[in-house]
Order: sequence, then C-alpha cells, then structure tokens
Amino acid sequence: MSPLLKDFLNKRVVVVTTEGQCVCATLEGFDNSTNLLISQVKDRVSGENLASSYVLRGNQIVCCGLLEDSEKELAFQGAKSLKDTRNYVPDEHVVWQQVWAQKQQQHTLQTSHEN
Amino acid sequence: MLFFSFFKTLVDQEVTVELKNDIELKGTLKSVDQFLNLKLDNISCSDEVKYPHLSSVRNIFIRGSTVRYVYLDKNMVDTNLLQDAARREAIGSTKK
Repeated sequence: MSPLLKDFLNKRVVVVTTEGQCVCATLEGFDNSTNLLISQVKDRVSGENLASSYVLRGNQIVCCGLLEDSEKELAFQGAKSLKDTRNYVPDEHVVWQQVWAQKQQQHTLQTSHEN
Repeated sequence: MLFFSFFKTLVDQEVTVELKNDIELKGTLKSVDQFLNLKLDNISCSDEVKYPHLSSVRNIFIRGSTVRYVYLDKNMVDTNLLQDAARREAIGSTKK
C-alpha cells in the first residue's frame, strides 16, 4: 500500500531504529505499517555481521535511507552512537526521591504540631 | 486528512525535518503518505561530524511517528488559510 518504500526494494539501505541502532541491509519487503524485512544485516559503524535476516517492527523504525555508494557501507569508525527517540528526564529517580523526602518532612511536621 | 493535504502542497520544496533522536535532516520533500511518513531527496545532515551514519545516503524515507518538527520557510505556508481550514475541519468532525 504505502508506495514510498517501493523504490528501495532489493537495494542496500541504512535503517535507524528507535533504540539508536543503525544497520545496513538489503530491503526484502515491507508493509503498510513499515514493518521491514531485511537481509544481510550489518552494523553500520563496526561492520559486524548481525544476522542473515531481520524482521523489524514498524514502530521501531525511525528512517530508512537508500545507500548510494555500496562501497561506503561503513560509517566512520568510532562514530558517536545515535540517541534513542525516547523523551525522558535525566536522573528522574532523584527528583522523585526529593519529592518523597519533602512529603515525609511535611508529614512529620504536621504530626508534631498535632501533639 | 488536512495536514496530509497540506504536506502534499509542499512537495518539491526544501524542508528541514527534526527527528525525535535529535537529528536534523535538510532535503527536498519528495512524497508524503496518510501517516505523514516523509520521503526526502538530496538530504544533508546538520551534524555530519557527530553522526556520520547517514553520509552517502541521499534519498531517505522517514517514518511519520518519529518526526518531532518540520521546519518550513515562512512563505511556504499561509497560516491564516491553514487555521481556517483546521477550524472548518474541526467543526465538520463534531457535526458527524
């Protein structure tokens, strides 16, 4: 249905996932919800062979780019790893610890007031 | 479907797409589908040194759900018209 990926079929593509993984593979198939079937999967940075084929679920896909120059399958060695797509507060547990501590303090103040 | 139609009017224009993994891609919008998946051509990454993963990629498919922003030039969009259309669509959907 979605015709956008049709031009990439049976070609080498670069796929970025929501976890920040970046792989290079041959696109074998896809469907309406961007589930991808890819083969000859290699890591984009290290070039390590990951699997002979993968099914990636659509909601894990960030983008899928056509590799122009199949010689350049490897990105620079030691490239910074990509970020994931999650939106989170750094050290969130510390924030909640503080909130909890404040609540406890208020509670002890109140009870000592009542006595 | 309003924004689908809106993006269809932007085809062949230069846009910048910011993804949820903080990567910014600049390129020519080639096509768009009902999920607002985008296809860009001639892309360049704003921070190629840090993220060289998409070097030697020119034509890219972006899944709509991972797009954070699409930056458009001011003269590409008539905000009044768009606002009007959005209102009309909202009224139309409540009537149903």
